[in-house]
This record gives sequence, structure tokens and C-alpha cells, in this order.
Amino acid sequence: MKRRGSNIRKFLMRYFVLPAVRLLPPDRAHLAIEKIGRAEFYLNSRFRQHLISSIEEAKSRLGVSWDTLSTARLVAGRTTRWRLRDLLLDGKNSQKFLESFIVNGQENLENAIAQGKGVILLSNHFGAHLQVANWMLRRGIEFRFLTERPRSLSKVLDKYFRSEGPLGQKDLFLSRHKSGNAATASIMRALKCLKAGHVVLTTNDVRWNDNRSVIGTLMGIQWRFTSTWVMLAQRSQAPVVPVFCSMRPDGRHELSFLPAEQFAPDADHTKVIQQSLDRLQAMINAEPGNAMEFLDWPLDRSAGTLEVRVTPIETTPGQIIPAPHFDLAGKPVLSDADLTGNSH
Amino acid sequence: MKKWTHEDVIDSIRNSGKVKPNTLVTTSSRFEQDLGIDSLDLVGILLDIQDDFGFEWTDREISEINCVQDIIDILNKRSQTNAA
Repeated sequence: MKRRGSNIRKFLMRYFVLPAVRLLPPDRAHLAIEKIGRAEFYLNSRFRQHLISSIEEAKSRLGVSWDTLSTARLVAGRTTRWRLRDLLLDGKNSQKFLESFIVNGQENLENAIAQGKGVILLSNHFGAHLQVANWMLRRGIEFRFLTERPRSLSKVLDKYFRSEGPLGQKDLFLSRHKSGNAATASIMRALKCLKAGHVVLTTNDVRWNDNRSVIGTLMGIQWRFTSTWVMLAQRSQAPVVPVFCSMRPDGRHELSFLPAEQFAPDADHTKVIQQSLDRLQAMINAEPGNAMEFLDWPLDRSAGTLEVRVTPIETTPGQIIPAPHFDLAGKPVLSDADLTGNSH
Repeated sequence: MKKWTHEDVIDSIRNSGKVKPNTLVTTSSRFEQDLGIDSLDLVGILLDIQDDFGFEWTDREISEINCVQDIIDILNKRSQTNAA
């Protein structure tokens, strides 16, 4: 029933709302979509209640003082904008599109590219993360994605993602469902792309469970995160440029390229990843309205083995409760070694 | 491409730091099931071998690798091609 409702909403959005909203300039189109999300916030009590619970939970874990209701309204609007990925861009000319961006630190990206070692563009799921790719595409910057293939894309980006050949994008995508050595081949390809001087866009906030995943804290909880991007940076010695793309209240996007970092071959993965997560957390704390992806994490029961939990302990006969792994201030109550040893 | 022996390949895998100490590595060892090596570990091993032996893996070769012997077979094929 829930899926049916969601499919009806998608159908209406794609075939009735989008064609009309696309006639507006990009910034006004995005604002119009946000208004639809805010209307849903008022009309759909379950959605409203879920958002409010997520924000309250996040506030208590992070010790931040966001205004719950205004944050929830903002997140509701941005969630609808976020769900549309970049579908609003079909038919938009590059000039109009680029005008809807405020870009900070572009020189950081340009200087990194000029080094000729390729660039790892370290993105995340904060704000309008897919717009980074669109911006680069329309600026003529050669790039590749080392991520799972995003769904529901604009025609332009979809076409770009179908490129084949030794350095093509099609076989570079990662998937949790691919078997055999597909992931190995993708990562080896990414290294070739870096060697060829391309920008490889990847993310630092992917919760993952393999031999090389490391424990990091985000949203006040410890999870396992992939360390693939650190390994890539160490092997290629390519500069790593962190990037954030915020949705602005005026309907535009703000793209921020931070100064490039370089990692020694023996750099500690856990430290490097935690530093990058801390930077992301600071952005989330400052702009919760762009944290649509993360506000759900503390309530995410589907993350399974990705969250680092300790083995449940028996307290009284017949009663099993999970041992808390954070105190009331959100600090871990066990050492990393304890958590690693007991995680499942 | 550098000259190599089966022992060189096994040493390269053993010294990669991806295999737990005291794990027996033989030509028939399967990476995932026997050695507990996952995709990211395998990248490290393949890159080490690539650097040590002086060549570049193709996508097709990577897709064929399941056990140590597969790597040896690929290196054999490459040696024969180079010699021809």
C-alpha cells in the first residue's frame, strides 16, 4: 500500500509537475519543488511526525540547538528537491544552469587538476550532491564516478554515465549486488582514470562492511565506513579535494571546493576517515536543512551490521537488553578495541 | 615483464599484509573463501604484483581471478605472449 502511494506520487511528479516546473528558471523551479515538500509536511502527519522524531533524536545525540519545527519544514521541502535528483535540469541550457550556482574555492579544484596526477573529488550525501557532477559536466571538466550508480537522472547525466571503453564510466560504478571481482575491477579502473589525469568523484560517508572498512563516528553513532577512497589516494598520490554542495534558501546551489589534501602511503585510515567525517558533521550541525540523508541515521534499523554495537548482555534472568555504547553526552563508553572485538 | 616463479607470486601475496599470519598460502588457495581476502584487499595484492612484475592488469584478467593459481596462469600467458 505504501509503495503504491509512493508510485502514484512519482508518476504525478514526473509526468505532471515536472514538465510545468521545468518552464521556470532553475532557482525558481527548485523553490517551487520545495513548496510541494512543505505542503506534504503539513498534509501528511506520518511524514511530519517521522521528521520531527528524527530531528529530536539527532539533536539529543549531537547536543545541538536546532529549532525542531523550522528545521523539519526546511528538511521536508529539501527532501522533495533531493528526491528529484537532477531531473529538473533536462532542457535547461548550460548558461542558465551555471548561473544558479555560487562557487567557492574553484581554484582549489583547478590547482589540484593542474598537478596532473588526477584528482579525488571527495563528495558526500550532504545537500544536492549530484549537482556537483552536473556542474563539472557543464563546465567541461572530465570526471568519473566511483560510487553506486545514482538512479532517476537527467538525460544529460544518464548519457554521460553510459560511456564505455577502458576509462569509461559504465563499468566503473560500484554495486553491493555485483558478484565476483567486479568491485576490484572498478577500483583498478578508477586508479587508471586517476593516472590519466581525470577527476574521480567518490564519497566519504558510505557505510560498508568489509575487511578494510573502519570505524568512524557520524551523527553521534559509530558505524563502519568504506576506506576505498583513502586507499586510492595513497596508491595514486592524487590530491583529494573535499566538496560540499548546499541547497540555498533562494533556490540556488552553493558549491564549495576545499583545499586539497594529500595522504602519505602509511597514513592511518581511521584517523583520515574520522577527520573527513568531522568536517561533514560540522556542515550538518551548521546546516541541518541540507542533512536530509543523515537525519534518519540514528533511527535507521536497516543498517544492520554497519552500526557498531556491542553484544547484548544479560541483566536479569530472561531479560536481554542491548548494552549502551554511548553515554548521555553521546561519548563512547567502550574503547575502540572493545567495540571492534564485539561488533557484529 | 620481469621473470618470476610460483614462489614469487605466493611471497607477494603473503607479504602484502592482507593475509592473516600463519595462514597457509598455496597455489590452490581461493582468495575469498580460504584467505579471507575481499575486493579491496585484492586490489592491494594485484597492485603489488603489478608493481613487482612490471605490467598492467586488464579488466578481463581481473574478472578471472578466484585463486592463486589463476594469477599464475595469467602471468604464464603473459610470459608466453612476451616471449613470442
